[in-house]
Amino acid sequence: MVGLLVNAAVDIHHDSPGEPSLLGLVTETPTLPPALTVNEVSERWFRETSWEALAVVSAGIPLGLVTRNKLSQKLFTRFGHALFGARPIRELTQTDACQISPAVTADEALALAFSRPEQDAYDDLIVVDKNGRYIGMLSIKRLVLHLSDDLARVRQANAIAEARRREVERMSALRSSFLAHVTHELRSPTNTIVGLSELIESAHAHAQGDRLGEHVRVLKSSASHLRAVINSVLDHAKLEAGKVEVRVELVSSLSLLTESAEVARVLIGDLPVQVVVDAPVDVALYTDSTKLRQILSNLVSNAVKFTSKGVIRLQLWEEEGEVVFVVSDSGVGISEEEQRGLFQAFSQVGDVRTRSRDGTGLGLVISRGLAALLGGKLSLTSQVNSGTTVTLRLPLGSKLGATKELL
Amino acid sequence: MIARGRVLVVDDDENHLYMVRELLTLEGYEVKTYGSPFGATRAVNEFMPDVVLVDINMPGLSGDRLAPLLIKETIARVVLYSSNDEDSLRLAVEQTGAAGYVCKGDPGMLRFMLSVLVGTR
Repeated sequence: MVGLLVNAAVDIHHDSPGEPSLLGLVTETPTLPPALTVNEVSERWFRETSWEALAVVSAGIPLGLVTRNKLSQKLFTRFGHALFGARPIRELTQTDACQISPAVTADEALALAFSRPEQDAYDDLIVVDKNGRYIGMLSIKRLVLHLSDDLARVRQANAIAEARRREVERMSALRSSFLAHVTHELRSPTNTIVGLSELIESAHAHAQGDRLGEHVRVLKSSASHLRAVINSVLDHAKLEAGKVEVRVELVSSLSLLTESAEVARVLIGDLPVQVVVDAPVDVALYTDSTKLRQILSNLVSNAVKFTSKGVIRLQLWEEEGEVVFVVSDSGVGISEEEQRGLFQAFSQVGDVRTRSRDGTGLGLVISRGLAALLGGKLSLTSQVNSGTTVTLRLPLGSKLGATKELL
Repeated sequence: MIARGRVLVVDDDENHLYMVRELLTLEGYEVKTYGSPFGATRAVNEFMPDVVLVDINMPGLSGDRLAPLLIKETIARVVLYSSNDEDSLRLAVEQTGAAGYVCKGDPGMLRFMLSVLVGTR
């Protein structure tokens, strides 16, 4: 195991982009024989303007460097041409010029260049092989450009890594918040059930039979609530894990919609909310009736929960090989900000301490997951104070087609 | 029978309020319940309980924000009463200055806390 780790470390080191060969940056410029006169050199240089510096090389071994800047300075100051023109270039050569091996890194080369006196800092470096023979010139300008590209790449990579790290942190925070929320939702009714059991025990022991009926009624209500929470959490977990099976059969969409309307009416009770079914024609489709019923019942109970007066409208029609179900209400609506996280189990949970006590808030997440499982789509539009409209589109399917597609 | 003391319970969960009211009434306390964090201060000042049991997870205003208000505005002893993790309750007690906490679902702890707080008055 240790050996493996060491190898891995070596590989990483080897592949590190921080160490490219310098050879790619080296320019193979022609060299100057030491005996060439200064005049000849300057003429040649006027023709080839791209060279900033040339090496003076004798028998393959560099003697030093001549730079365009310094040569021009010498020639164009008083009597420069007259004084130096006929002299061999060897006499104006900087023999202390830096020589480097192509094996050094770009960073090292730059550090070496900039360790020189300021007036020499941008002089090209002479690149030599291990026998000291001339290979080419390394321009400091090119080196700096290369390194700044590298720097940009490193910065970009860092920015990507930072963004990933933040996303991981965000997901982890959301998961913790989700877990805290689910824990609380499971414990609350459980704790009430435990307390009520104690009360029932005590009432029984003290022959206070008159209290039993009410105790049991509240116990049942808490137990149903607990069951609903458990079911939501399990449904969500199963969907997340892709463990939900689909059983396709021929379904009458109108009868499911009518059934949902009945559920809505029961949930509304005495509130002044009207339930309207608007379905001109029944549409038969091949789908999983249990899942579809679950989606519609989720949508309807949401509509009831957030509507205290007005109307809840259930619509149904067929459109381009799809069945369209619409559940709209005239309730409180959902702000744009809240809508953004509505279909994400983790972000939607929000601050666990101030959420209203109406289950896990997983209803829409589960409904959308189920819709996708049935090959359909669930979408929502809403406006604060004027209501919410949820649209479910499902493929009509066929007995075989649907089975193949869905299973 | 003279009540052992007065307890007000602030919680948005009706079932839980019912259960606590029944349980503490059996224990000999005079109990009132209040279903929302809003107006809780007034409810406390009207009923003048010895102890207020405050739920933490409530819509609109959480119990750990309500508790400091109750401590400032009333003379009742404030106890946090929640289904949250015990660690987070302990922390909330430190942060709010509440007299203590009780885990929901632990009637023994509830009895003990009340007997201590009511007994010390």
